[in-house]
Amino acid sequence: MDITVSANNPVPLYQQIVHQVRAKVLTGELKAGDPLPSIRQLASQLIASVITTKRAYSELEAEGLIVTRAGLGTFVADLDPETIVELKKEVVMEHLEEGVRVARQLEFVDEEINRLFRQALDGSEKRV
Amino acid sequence: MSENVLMLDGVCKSYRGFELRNVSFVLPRGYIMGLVGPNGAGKTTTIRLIMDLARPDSGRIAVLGQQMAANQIELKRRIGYVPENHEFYSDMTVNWTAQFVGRQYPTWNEARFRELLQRYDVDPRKKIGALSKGTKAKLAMALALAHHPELLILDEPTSGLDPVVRRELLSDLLEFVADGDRSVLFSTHITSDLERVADYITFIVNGRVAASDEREVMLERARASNPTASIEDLLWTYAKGGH
Repeated sequence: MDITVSANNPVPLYQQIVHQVRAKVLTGELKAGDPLPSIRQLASQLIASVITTKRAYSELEAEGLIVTRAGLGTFVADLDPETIVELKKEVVMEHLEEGVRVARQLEFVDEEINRLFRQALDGSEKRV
Repeated sequence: MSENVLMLDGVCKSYRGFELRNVSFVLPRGYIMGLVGPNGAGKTTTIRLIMDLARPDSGRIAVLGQQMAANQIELKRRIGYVPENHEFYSDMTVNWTAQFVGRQYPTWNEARFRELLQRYDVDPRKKIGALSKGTKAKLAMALALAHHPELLILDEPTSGLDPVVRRELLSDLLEFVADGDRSVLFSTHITSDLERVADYITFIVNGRVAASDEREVMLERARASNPTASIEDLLWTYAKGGH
């Protein structure tokens, strides 16, 4: 599984793993039933501790993205398309809410935040 | 399985001008523990007590479930110990040193040792005295791993190593514990080594255990007040007498 983590990143290591595996599942790069490496294999590959990797897997399992079958290993969960859309929305909302939080902290009013959002949207359209 | 490969319970030891007070911690099988603290905090003394190179004044130590003093030879064969200053004969070659060390371990695996030398890029024909500090550290690691120990005890294994060799060594530690049966205790004052590989951390400050727990648990607690708290921040707090 092609993921990397950095100890210099302020995001905790386990969350870095969660974010990357989640993205792979939600974009379909990893498909339902695909096997994941064992916790200790992945820890060794990433140079991340066993407990950190275990924590990332527990989180992904709690989110319903992966399932562990005793004695068989860990696999990508079988998610229906609506659930995938809902989960994608949740991820995007988390980031948007963070943006809104920062904007409010800097004392922007809703109208201005709306305008900034449009600006960001148009800006990224141009780049694509 | 929650079997502990190391158990220290209320260990005390005093030397002139230095005191280790009431040191207690456990390391469960299959995991890596970092022993971290400022220079002179008591890390090496703790390791020497575990290895029975010094005797505690009071307290109990169990290694692989047994008292070291009662079962020293058998236990030491199951441990890979790398002291901070490798005591090799500088006039002898790597080959000679390996033969000398290998004879002491019934489980010595010559093929495995050769494979490690190759991976670490150590020339077996060279004299120890001609090796760089990093190469000597890699040789010490290869010697410790070649007899398939259940427990690795390393005193400052990364100090003086360049970042590439350091990363390589950390990766080897994770590979070592990958089967879930083997465990590592290593001391360091370089906190970044612990950010990646340590499952458990024991902070030693002024001869006392300031904290000993799962790294994730300690960081999570610290992040409640500082969202980007690191091991280094924690060490700073403990060294300054906070908690």
